[in-house]
Amino acid sequence: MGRWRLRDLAVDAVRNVTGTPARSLLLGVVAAGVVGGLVFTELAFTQSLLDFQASFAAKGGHVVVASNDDGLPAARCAALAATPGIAAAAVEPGVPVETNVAPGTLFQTGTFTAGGLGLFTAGTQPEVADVADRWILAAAAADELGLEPGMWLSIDGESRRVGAVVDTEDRNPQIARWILTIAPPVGDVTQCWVEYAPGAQSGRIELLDTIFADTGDNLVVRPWIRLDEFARNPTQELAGRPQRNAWVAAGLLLAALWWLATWFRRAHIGLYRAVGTSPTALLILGFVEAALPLIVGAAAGTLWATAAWAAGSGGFPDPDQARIAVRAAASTLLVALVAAPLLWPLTGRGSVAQQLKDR
Amino acid sequence: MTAAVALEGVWHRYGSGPWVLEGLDLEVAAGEAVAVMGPSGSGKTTLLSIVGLLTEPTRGRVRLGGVPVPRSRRRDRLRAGWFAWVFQTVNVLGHRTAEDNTALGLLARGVPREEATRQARAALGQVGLAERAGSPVVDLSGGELQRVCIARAVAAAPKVVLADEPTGQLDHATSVRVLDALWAARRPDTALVVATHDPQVAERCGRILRLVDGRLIEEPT
Repeated sequence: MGRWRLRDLAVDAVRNVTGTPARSLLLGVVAAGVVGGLVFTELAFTQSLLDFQASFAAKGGHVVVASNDDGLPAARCAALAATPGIAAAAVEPGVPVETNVAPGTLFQTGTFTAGGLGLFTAGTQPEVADVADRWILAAAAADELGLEPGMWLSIDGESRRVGAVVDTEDRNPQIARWILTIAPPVGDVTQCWVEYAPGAQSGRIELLDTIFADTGDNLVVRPWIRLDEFARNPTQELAGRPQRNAWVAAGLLLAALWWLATWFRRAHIGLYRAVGTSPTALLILGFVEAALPLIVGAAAGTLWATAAWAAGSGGFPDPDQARIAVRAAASTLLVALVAAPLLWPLTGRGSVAQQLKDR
Repeated sequence: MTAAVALEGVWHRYGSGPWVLEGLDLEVAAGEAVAVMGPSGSGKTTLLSIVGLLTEPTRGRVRLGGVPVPRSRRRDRLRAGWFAWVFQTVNVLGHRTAEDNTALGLLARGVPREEATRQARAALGQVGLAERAGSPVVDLSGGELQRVCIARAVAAAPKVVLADEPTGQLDHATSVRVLDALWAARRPDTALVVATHDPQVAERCGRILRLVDGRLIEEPT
């Protein structure tokens, strides 16, 4: 005496699915809606965190400034840039000056070591080699002076071309009217700017305190921006997001829909039982019948949600967002796949004779 | 000669309700056709369900080929191997073809699909539905559907066919065609137990039993 061959059971399940297109389509569409909605929610939520993090970084949230009016060794500061995950620049404000372009109007000058370009602009920056011996104008200064890269500017008889105009508005609006130059890391400066990679959360201030401990009592090390202006904690928000465990409810919702469909198929299940189909074979049959529309629907929902989100945001999810969204979709699907077929063998526990009469 | 199927001292009731079957004994030999008659509610369907291992009796024993049936999950496999059913209400997978429905019992016994389909077509031919093998069953008439059920029952070459009011919902002419199909398709060594109200069904059987007060009384044929 044999029993159902697995392949034939799967073929039967597929024929049951394709033979009832309305039911299969309904389950697939609901799966697409539920999974797609969850994916969209995750993408939108994580994007809000990423936007915040980007804004936080752009405004200098990871920048720490050591300052000492008695002087900090420029070379020691610049050397920090050799450490992975750290950008550093020694900065020395200069004196207000007049220019040949706008006599009578004072502009602040300043020098910084090469890494300062990235620290002040937090964005696209010119190559250091292109501006090494030139003036670097902050945007407001360039605007006031009517200068563009390549033009000549003379300060106190020293003429140089303008090497670049940099936008410091986000990171350091205070230097928007400054005229800057790159200087080698020699001697002492009054400021050392250090930007850490976002992952390095602890020990930021302590590191500079240690490195410059010997520079005297006037050393002050502080975050560049007041952190209380950025009270959000993305890590906590991600961990505590309301939809974090929604995959359980979403999966059970899809399973419940399948259970409802199963209830209306008691006579079919009874027929399978009457011809000798075992509970295990019924479980497999129910699994395959549920899996096809659920998998197709969940995949379609994920793609739909991603496409809709991409169309709205103008970009594709980054790998972390994609991972979170796919995990939510896969978890929902897994719960539904595990729970949905359970009713098949459970439905088969009663009297077959009674089941065959059910409609 | 050992009976194909036998009931020994079978009592049955649903929950704490009254006894439907009361110490009932029955033996059906291979190839024998037995009609079980009785009024509605007398327990004919219950009797067939117990014979066909769809329902476990409250008390008593079922023997198949002389061997007691265990109370275990093996009943599923025994059911597939020994029995095939023809029900009063047409039980089919409505979205599948006649061929698919007919092959169901064979597939449940592990017959490969190609072979099951071949045998299903042959069985449909025996009941006069060769031309409708590929038709969805929703396109078939009531009589044709019942013949599909007969084809499904006989295709699996069971030792016993159990028919519960097989003509209960059919008109006279259709009933005759369905019964002709059942008798024509049944193998000589296949036992047939039919629960029926219909005298024309009973007349075709070699033995008529009447179910009265939970016990079987043999009637002369």
